[in-house]
Amino acid sequence: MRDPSRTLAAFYTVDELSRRHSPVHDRHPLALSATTAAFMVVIASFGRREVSTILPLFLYPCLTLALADVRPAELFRRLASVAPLILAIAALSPVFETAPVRVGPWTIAGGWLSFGSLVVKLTLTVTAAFLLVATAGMGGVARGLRAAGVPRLAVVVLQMTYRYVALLLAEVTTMTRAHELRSGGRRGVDRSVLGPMIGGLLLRSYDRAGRVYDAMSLRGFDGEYRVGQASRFGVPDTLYCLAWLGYFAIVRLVDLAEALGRIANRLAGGML
Amino acid sequence: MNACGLDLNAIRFSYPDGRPVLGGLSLSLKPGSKLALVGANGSGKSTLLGLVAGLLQPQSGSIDIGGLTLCKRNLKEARQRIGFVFQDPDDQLFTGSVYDDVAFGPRNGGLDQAAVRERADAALSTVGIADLADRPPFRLSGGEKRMAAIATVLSMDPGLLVLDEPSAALDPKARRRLISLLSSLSQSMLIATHDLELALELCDETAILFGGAVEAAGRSKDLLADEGLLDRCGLEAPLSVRACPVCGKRAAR
Repeated sequence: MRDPSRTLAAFYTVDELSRRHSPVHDRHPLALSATTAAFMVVIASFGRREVSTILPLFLYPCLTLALADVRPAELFRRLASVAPLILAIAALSPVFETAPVRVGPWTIAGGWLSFGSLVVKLTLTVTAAFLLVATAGMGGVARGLRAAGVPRLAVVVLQMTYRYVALLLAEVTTMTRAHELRSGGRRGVDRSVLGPMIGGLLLRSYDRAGRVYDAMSLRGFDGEYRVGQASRFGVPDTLYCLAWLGYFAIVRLVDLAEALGRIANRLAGGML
Repeated sequence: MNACGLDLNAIRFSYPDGRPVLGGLSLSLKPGSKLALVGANGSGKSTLLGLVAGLLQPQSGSIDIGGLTLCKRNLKEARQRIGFVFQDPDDQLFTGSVYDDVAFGPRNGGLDQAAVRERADAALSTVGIADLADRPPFRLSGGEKRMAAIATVLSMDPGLLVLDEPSAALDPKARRRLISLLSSLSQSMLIATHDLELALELCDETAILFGGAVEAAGRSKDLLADEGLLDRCGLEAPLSVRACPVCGKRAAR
């Protein structure tokens, strides 16, 4: 099992990343949230066996990583942690879709195309979500959602859940450390201890969450999690949105991969 | 806000399991003064602080904060007068950065962005951690977390500071900084602590809780030098007032 204290540190690293300044970080949270939402909608709109047509969408995370000065390792670490889930979801496709399809000179089961498409789509979706939180921050996401008209309760639940995950991880770290120190060097948690530990964890985290809630109430929390005001939605924010929405539309309407292939072929033919 | 006084009159409180904690406790704190609340474990100190903050409701008796008698209707107004610092600063620091935590109260108070910034900057400067504003609380040391926790309530400009074990788990230098900071603040203070040296140094008055009631209340240097009283209440006299075991003399205070 991964050391929970490292998971907790990685969790807080995202908060730290979001506090930087860059051409992406400085955009209005609504611009970042809207672009991410549009990106996800475009991904979802592709057919279940499309792979090459989706690939040009990788430009968005690549350029965002570069402009926001986020180390790709930060992204890969998180992708690695969800990779088993992504593969598990996609792995069912080759099992159920056995009808053969031709891909160039090869004939393969159609399920493999669905598998590839799902892996690409889920990878892009997770990447976009990570980049949104790493650039706008959870507070920024909340501001963006509120500005987009999402009900206050839903936004508060999202923010509280995010904070509860941090609190739960902190309690897991404390408990596993206490267990390790008295487990005589054995790896993992014995089954006989696991149940009481999980129960204890829930009770401890519930108790701690109660104290955090008290601390919030004593400082005027009334059900709305106020995270400060964002700057005005300006011209650069509009241009940022329009540029990416335009690009997503082009990727959706034109098979860029095929078009680039045709151009490359023509250039190669001309040279011959 | 001006320093607030505090009056507790005949407070009775039992937990839902019927276990009585406070039985008719009365206590008074003058505006601008600092009162130490000391007592053995389970004597009701933290419960009393919870009652003052309105986190718990007494079965009977009244709590008066700066002329406002605490009840459910005026809880919000009463809490604006109180800055409650929890024993564990991790309970108090829950956002992604120190600044956001310090700004949390003023934002909820409906202040505009400039006023929030002004309050937060002033609070951070007062406790001496202005350079940590952008740091996530997770990365702070215990002493820095304690200062950040105090800044989160100072930014709300309270008239009464309620502190639960403020010197717990602090190293000697961090504890010294804390004492210097608290002695420089003008707010009234109610401090529950096991650190009797801190009580002696910081607070003019002390109340000793025992068995859910105030066993003794008065000048700190008188009460905390009474070894018989302290022993009866499960406490130990601070080293600085104890007689020298060799010559039998006491340090002059």
